Amino acid sequence: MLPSRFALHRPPSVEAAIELLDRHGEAATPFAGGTELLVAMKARALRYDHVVDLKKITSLRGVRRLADGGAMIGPLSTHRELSSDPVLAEVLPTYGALSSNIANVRVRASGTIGGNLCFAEPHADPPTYLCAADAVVHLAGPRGERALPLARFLTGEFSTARAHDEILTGIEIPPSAVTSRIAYESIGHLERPAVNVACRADDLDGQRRFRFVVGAACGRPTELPALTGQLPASDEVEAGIRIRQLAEAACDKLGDVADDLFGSADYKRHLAAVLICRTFMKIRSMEVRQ
Amino acid sequence: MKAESQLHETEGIRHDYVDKVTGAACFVSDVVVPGMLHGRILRSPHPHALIKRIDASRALRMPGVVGVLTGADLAGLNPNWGMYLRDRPIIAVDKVRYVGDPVAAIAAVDEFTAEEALEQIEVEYEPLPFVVDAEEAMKPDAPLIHEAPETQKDFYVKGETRPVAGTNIFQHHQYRNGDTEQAFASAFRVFENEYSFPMVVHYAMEPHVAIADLQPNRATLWTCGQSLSAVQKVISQLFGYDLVNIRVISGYVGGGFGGKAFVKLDPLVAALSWKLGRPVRVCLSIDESMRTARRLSGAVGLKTAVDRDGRITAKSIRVVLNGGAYSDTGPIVAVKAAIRAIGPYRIPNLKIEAFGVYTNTIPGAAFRSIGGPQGVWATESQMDEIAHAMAIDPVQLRLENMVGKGEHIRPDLRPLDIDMASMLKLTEHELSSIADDQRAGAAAVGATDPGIFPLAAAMVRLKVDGSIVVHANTVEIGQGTHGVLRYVASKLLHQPLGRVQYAMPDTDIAPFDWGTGGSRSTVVMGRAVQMACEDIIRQLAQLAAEVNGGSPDDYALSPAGVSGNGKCLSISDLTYAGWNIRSGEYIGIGRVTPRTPGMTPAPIFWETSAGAGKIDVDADTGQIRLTTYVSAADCGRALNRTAAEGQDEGAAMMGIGHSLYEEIVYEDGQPLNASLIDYRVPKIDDTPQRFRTLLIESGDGPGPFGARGMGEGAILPVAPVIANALQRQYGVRIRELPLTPERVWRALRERSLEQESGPAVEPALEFRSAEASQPAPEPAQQRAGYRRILDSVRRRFGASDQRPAPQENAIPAASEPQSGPQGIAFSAEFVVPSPVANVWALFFDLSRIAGLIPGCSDVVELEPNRRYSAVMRQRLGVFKLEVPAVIVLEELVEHRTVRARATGTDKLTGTSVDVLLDLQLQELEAGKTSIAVHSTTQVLGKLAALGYPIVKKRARELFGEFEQRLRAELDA
Repeated sequence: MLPSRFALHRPPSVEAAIELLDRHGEAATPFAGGTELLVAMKARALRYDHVVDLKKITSLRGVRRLADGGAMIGPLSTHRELSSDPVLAEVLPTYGALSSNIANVRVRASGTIGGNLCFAEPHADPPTYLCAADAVVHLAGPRGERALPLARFLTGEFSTARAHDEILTGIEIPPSAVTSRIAYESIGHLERPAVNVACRADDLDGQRRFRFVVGAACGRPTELPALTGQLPASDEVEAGIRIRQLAEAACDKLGDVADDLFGSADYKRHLAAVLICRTFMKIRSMEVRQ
Repeated sequence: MKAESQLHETEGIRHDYVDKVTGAACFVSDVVVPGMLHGRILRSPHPHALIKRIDASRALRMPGVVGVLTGADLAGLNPNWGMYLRDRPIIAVDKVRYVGDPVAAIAAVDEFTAEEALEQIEVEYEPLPFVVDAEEAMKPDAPLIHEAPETQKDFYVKGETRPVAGTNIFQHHQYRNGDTEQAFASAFRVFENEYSFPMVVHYAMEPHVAIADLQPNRATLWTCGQSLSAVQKVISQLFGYDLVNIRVISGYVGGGFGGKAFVKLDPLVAALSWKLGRPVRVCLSIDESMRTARRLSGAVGLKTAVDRDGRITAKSIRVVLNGGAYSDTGPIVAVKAAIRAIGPYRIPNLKIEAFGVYTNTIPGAAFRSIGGPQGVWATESQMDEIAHAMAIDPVQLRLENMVGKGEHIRPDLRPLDIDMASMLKLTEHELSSIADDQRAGAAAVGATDPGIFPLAAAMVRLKVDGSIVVHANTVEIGQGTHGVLRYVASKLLHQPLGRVQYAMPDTDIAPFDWGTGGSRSTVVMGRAVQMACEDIIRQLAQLAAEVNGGSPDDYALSPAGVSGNGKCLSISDLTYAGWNIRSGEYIGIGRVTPRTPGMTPAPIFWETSAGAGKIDVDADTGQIRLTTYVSAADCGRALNRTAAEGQDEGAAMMGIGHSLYEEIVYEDGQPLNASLIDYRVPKIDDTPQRFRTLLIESGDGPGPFGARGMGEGAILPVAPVIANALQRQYGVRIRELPLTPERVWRALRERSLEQESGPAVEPALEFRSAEASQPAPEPAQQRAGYRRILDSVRRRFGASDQRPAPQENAIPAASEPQSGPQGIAFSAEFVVPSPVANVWALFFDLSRIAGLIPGCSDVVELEPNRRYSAVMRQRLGVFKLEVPAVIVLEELVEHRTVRARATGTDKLTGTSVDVLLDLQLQELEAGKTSIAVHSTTQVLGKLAALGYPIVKKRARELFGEFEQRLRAELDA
């Protein structure tokens, strides 16, 4: 369980890192926390002649508020840092709990949000939530900079729209996410989540709109059709039953779910429906508390 | 002369703790031997295959590589070893028997070089049919995994095994007492159930490690094993050294749990050193350790007859254990599983049949309470099922049938030496006193006869200043045994614990010990240390009588020294009085053999456990949490109470693992999760919120101060407690472990479907996509969906009950390609608007057909209509596969059949791919052709080991894409 021989580069800037990735092509990989990359390299399922360690690029850390009310998350921020980041807590108050429950303490201490998104392991917590937040990823490469929605960046299992010579430079949370409410639930009996769901509530034109993103069970986070309409004001139980029926029906149509160690496809669809209800009720209870 | 002792003063007993937390403790992986090479092992990607050729020449040319070991090097030896059967070669000879079987080993100047060199070894295999399931392996047409292995009787472990010639059955054990058939025929009720137990791994935090230095007349080995003498014995047998010329040394061991019992890695490392003449170290990764040993999985079938009052009148036990590729200690595990399925109950008519069966899986081995969890899971589940069916309180049913202290469980075994009824009642009482709710709890008990051979010796040296050293080959695997043995010497020789040292095990210095395991060390080695101390006390009393007069019986040892006849002399003064010098030492020898009083009949003591607990179930998801748990053990006397409680808690926590999470899952002969990525062991968060261990100190065990062995028993009741609580609280019975959320959910769902019929509800909310709104589901349709879910109950990941679901309203599930037993299968049939001749022509238009196969390029005809070469490229994100493949047309019937086989190996990861594609054409009517595509794909090696489910999904997607492209091409 030792990786094949490689040259370790520690560029001081994004430009220098891009130059290295450009120069070495597919023989090079960016390296952040290494919690997934190194496991695969030690198993020799992946091998690179050049490993470009981004950790010297301090500008890629931390969370800052943007003028439009949104925020930019530095991709090298570790899960542990994000679990208690005060700026992020203002912007996405429910993200901290997610971040403090990722994997285990060792992964949280070294694993980064950017590495998590770029490795695109489907059984992960952050992508589901951040897709519901309409996060936008910023990439920089030899051909310049570009931005695209996270939901389009993630293209499937271990697959993203990132070119091999591009670096993720920021994860932008748009202002609309800041004014919305997001609830997140994850479930699984193994180390990684089997299914997770993020529910987001927005008020649009006087109409309450709930959106749901299902993750982990499928190759990439999948957004379900939005839920609109009025809940019966009085009866929580009634509301719960109704949302459950709708959720089960919606999840029955969820594609790209396969039988695997995490559970049979039908069970995972069911779990998605359960989590839809739970996140939905969680948002309702957030509102009651206020 | 009598020793006074004040028990439970154990300050400083764990002298290893400071070293361990500061990193100063020396484990075998820390040992550096001058000139030492580092070895790495190449393992089989095939579940069962012949080795046609191994070419290591490229590896040997690499700088830093010193040598390679393959089966061919063992030609001059009998390369096979084992405990009951000599069925395991040092390294594969001609054949591999499981994914992970060692095929070749490289020794190099460092681990990195050795690892790099492994990739340069070429191995050509000829795959054989394989079998992973024990029941399948017992069938007459099953592939035979071993040809007539040589049996060994009483070689190192007591007894012999009874293999069935010409089959995969390596053990067939039978026992009968009374007339079960007659009792079943006349019974009030008979209960017949089968309970299955998963394949779980030990997961010691330290992987297997060994260093061997085999010189012409002298062999030295450093082992992480639990039995130094077993290593010595097997190395002697294999390489022909006199026992005395083999020195085996142990360091601290980072956990064993049976995974390091007897012999595991040592012969292979020894053979590397034997070939190269230099010391060699091999330290496995956790993934490799998980492929080295595991618990025997399998099924226990119970047929139990009871009378009107619930008294058991007869029991028939049928155990079928999956022993994996090599039998190891499987023969005794199968027998113990059956004995432990008896329970501590009076069974007037008993019949036992136990099978241990070879399969193409990781070798089964001893594991904390061998066979115990398998047998107790079955019996203690069934006791509750009987109680439930007969409306008797389950604890009452147990008490009604329980054997009392001094009564026999089986006439040929020592009578039960523990009051289990009191233990069970105490456990129940403790549960109700600590639980904060009124939900129904559940209980279970386990009684085991530890498979201990009573052969051990110790040497104790008392220095003239009163300091002491204990020499014994008991291995410190984290259980605290060195502290306990020091404690015994400290108490008997009246010296503070801090002045008692323990010499690390070394066969050149300490006497023979059979091994560390089976909860034996406190009792057997404890007795040996006790006898050694008594030997010293006798010598001191003798010397005192010679110096001061009187009889040795007049003298006693106290903290101040040797007193009697009106005088008290310190050890130093006594020595001076006797020998005229203030130097020297007293050496005591203690020896336990089967002839030592109390050591026969087996077992030396019964190790029992009672457990009671309560669970929380999330009925929506099926997740279980054990919230409250009480574990009780009668340890006779707790010599280190903290460690004893820790052992009991640790065993119970390990029980939570196989109850709720752990299982190595096999598919197509590949272990899907033999790494910590997807194999989940219990974590600290899984500890029950309310968790008690009751240590009962009856003081009548056979060990020093009345101690009895412990540390394994608490693993026994956990699974049945949880399953019984599930039945009591939720009315569902699951007979398959682990109780995964999915299994529980399916069981609950099925039960609620039997009961419910809720009113239809009109939804006030709806899911609405931007384009079109979706209709709300009809309740009938929804129920039909549930039926469909039930229909798929039999699918492997969640099947819990074999009862077929009712068929009304059933919607046929979409036909999904299922993988056959020997690969990833894909099938499709479709009709194209094209005459058969056109279709046929397409197949042989290389550029067109290559364009239809995703990722296929560079097709070259090597031999017309026979052999082709091509490159297959696949990519899943960062993971890439580039396979130069050879395609052979195995069968060709014009306008009718093509059967092609493509094989190749990925350049980067060594992942090998073998695709069998079968195309059947049939002209239906003018211009229409039906095409049937059947394919089987085998993917072996690194990518398969890391992500087989993804590989499988991807393979099916690719065939689906091929089908689509083919249809599009021909539709056009």
